[in-house]
Amino acid sequence: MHSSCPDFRSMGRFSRRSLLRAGTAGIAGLTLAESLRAEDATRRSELPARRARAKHVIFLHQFGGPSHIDTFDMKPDAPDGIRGEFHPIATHQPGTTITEHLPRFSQVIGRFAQVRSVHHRMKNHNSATYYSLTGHAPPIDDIRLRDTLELYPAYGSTVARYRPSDDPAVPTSVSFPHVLRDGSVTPGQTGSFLGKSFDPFFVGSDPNSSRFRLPELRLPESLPLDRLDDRRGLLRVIDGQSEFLEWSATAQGIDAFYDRALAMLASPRVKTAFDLSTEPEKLRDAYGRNTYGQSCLLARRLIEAGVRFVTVYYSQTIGGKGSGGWDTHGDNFNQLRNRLLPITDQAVPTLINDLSSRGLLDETLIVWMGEFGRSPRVTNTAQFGKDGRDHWPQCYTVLLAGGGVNAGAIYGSSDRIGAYPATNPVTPDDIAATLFWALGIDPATEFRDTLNRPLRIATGEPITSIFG
Amino acid sequence: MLAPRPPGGPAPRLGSETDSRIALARWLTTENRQFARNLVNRIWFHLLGRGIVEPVDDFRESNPPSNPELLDALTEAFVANGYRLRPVVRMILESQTYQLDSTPNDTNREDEVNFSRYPVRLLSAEVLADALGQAVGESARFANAPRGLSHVQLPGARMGGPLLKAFGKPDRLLTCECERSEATTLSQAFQLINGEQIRAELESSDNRIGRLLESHASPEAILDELTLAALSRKPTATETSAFLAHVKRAKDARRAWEDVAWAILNSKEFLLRH
Repeated sequence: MHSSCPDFRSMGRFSRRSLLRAGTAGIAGLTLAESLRAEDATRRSELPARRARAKHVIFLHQFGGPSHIDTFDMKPDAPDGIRGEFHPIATHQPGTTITEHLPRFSQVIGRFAQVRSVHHRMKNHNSATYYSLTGHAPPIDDIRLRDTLELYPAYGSTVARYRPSDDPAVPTSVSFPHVLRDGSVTPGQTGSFLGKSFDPFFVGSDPNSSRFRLPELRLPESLPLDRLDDRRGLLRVIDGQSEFLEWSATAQGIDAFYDRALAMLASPRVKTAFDLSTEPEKLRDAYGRNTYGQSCLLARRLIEAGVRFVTVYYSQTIGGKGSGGWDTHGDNFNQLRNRLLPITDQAVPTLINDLSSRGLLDETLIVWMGEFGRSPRVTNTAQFGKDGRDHWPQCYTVLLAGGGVNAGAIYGSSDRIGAYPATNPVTPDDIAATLFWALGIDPATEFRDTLNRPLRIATGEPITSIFG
Repeated sequence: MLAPRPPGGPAPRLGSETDSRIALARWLTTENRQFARNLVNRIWFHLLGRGIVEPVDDFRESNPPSNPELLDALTEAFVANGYRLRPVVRMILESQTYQLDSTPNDTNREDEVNFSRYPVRLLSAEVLADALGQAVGESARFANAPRGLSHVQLPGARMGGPLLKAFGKPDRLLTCECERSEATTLSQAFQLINGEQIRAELESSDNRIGRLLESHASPEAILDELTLAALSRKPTATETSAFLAHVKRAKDARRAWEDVAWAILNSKEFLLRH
C-alpha cells in the first residue's frame, strides 16, 4: 500500500511515539505511513486560506477504469504501441488538448481542473473502486475484498454525517442507478460503520425508462397524508404502552427511520425531483436518451432539490459490450470510440452547461473519475484480443469542475508516456481530502470505527491550489 | 499409494462399505465433536440472538465461547439425545435464561455477552413476513409454489418480494451467517408504511378484519382479537379508548380498522422479538 517517495520521506521523520501508535493500527488498513502522515498533517494546523464554496457534489464514477491516455492526457509523441489510435484536438482552453472523440467535451474542458498525477497500487477492481469511493486504501488488493463494517464509508455517507442537507426531508446522499459489482458487491457504496442511517438513498431503477418511478414515495389514493398522520398517531399510542423506545437502540433506530420516511413522503421536493417527465423533451434529448444521460439530468434535479451529495455510477459492471463500463482489456479503441466516449460526450458537457445556465455550477463540485487508468502499452492477449489496455493505477487523471475550482487548471503531470507521475503525485486520499475540504468539512475530522478507534475521514492533503 | 489424511485429526475409516460417503458422513458428524458444538451454538444463536461463540461462523482458539461450560453441556445433551434438534430446542426454550425479560436493570444494562437479559432484535425477514400474514389472517401466495407455503419455507434466495429483501434476506452468495443483515434501514420503514405487501394484506377483503366485520362482532371484540392475534395480549385501557375512538369517528369502519391493524403491526412490540 506504499507508493514510493512521499511515504519514504515521511518515514524518515518518525518518532518512537508514532511507531507505537502505528503498531496498533492494523485492521482498519491504517499503515505506518498513513498514521505518520495523519500526525504530520495535524501539526500543520492552519487550514488553507482559499475558501471552499461548494454546497453540493456530483460524483461521476466511471467503473472499469477509463483510459487516461486516450481521453484527457494524450501522448501523441509517444511511440507506436503506446500513443494509440486517437488524435488530440484543440479545445476552447488554450494549451489543453483532448481526444478527438470528445468534441462536445472540448468546449467545456476549460471549465474543468485536471489532476493528471493520481496514483495508487490497487490493481484489482473491487479494491481500487473501494479506494476511489472512500479515499482509503483497502487492506488487500483482491476481487474477494468483502464489504464489511471494518471498511470506510462512502464519501456521501461521511458528508451525511458532517454536513447533512439543510432540509431534513431531503436525503443528504443519493446514489443511482446501479449497485457496483465485480463478482460480489464492490465495497465503498454504503455508510459502513457510521450506521445504516448514513447509507445513501439508493435508487435502482433506470431514469431513462418511461416507467421510472420511486414506489416508496408514491402514496396511493387510498392513503392520503392525513390518513398516514392518523396512523402515526395510533402507532404512538401503542409504542407508548411499552418502554422499548426508552432503552432500546434498535427501537429508537426504527422510530427515527419512520420519521424520516414520513418526512420524505410529506415533502414534495424529493418526489418532484424524481419526476423527469416535467423536463422539456429537448433537454432530455440533449443529455442523451440512455441510462447515463438521464442519470446526469436526475443529478441536476436532485441538486436543485437540496441533495448535498449525488453519486452517479456509469455502469453496473466493469466492462462488456452494451452497457458495461470502461474495462477495455481488448478492443479498447472501438469500445471507446463507438460507445463509452459518445455517451460521455453527450451527457457530461450538457450537465456542465445546464448547471452553469441555472447558476448552480459555482456551488456544485463535479468530480469525474474511475478507479484507475489504463496501461500506456497497448496489449494483445489471447484472453481479450488485440488493442487492449490493462489496469493502470500507477498514473491516471481525475477531473473536477465547479464548486470554486479554477477553470482550466492542470495539477500535476505524467511522464512522456503517461506511465508514472512526473510532478506533484497525489493519491485518492488527497482527492478525498479535496472533496471534503471543498464542502467545508475539515479532512482532519475524526470518526469512530466499530472498535471505537478515532480515524481521520481523509488522511490526504486537499489540493487547494486548483481552487480560485 | 498414499492414503487420504486430514490435517490435525483422525482420518475417516474408509473401509469395506459399498459407499465410502457413509464413512465420510460418519467421520464428519458423529466422530467429530466440533460438528455437535457448532450445531448447538447455532441453535442457541437462533433462539437467543447471539451465539455462545460469536460470530457463529468463527470458531477458533482466539475466539473462545463466552460460556464454555454452557456450550459443553448443550453439546453433551445433543449427543446424548441422538443428535436430534428438538430436545435441545426444548431444553433451551424451557430454560430460565431464554425466558428472561429484555428490560435492562442496573445489574445487566451493560451486558451484551452473557445472556443476562433477552436481547432485543428485529424479527428476521421471513419470520416477520409470516408473522404479518398470520396476524392479519392472510396466508402468503407465491407464483409457482404450492398453497400454504410460508416465507420461512421458501427455497433459494430469489423467491419472495421486496419486503424480504428490505428486512435482510440475503442473496446467499457468501457462506456466512453474517450475510443476513440485522440492521434497520430506511427502506424497511417504507415497506411497512407504504409497501405493496402490507397494503395488500391489510386491504384484503377476507382477512381477519373482513371476517370479523362480516360476523358483526362488536368493536371491543374486534380490537381484542386483532391485538391478541398480533401481540398475544389484550389491549390496554389507553389503547382501547384511543382505538375505539378512532373507529367511532370514522366514516368508513373498514378503513378505520385497517388503520388500527396497521398501527398494531407497526408497533415496536410486534416488530421486535423481546
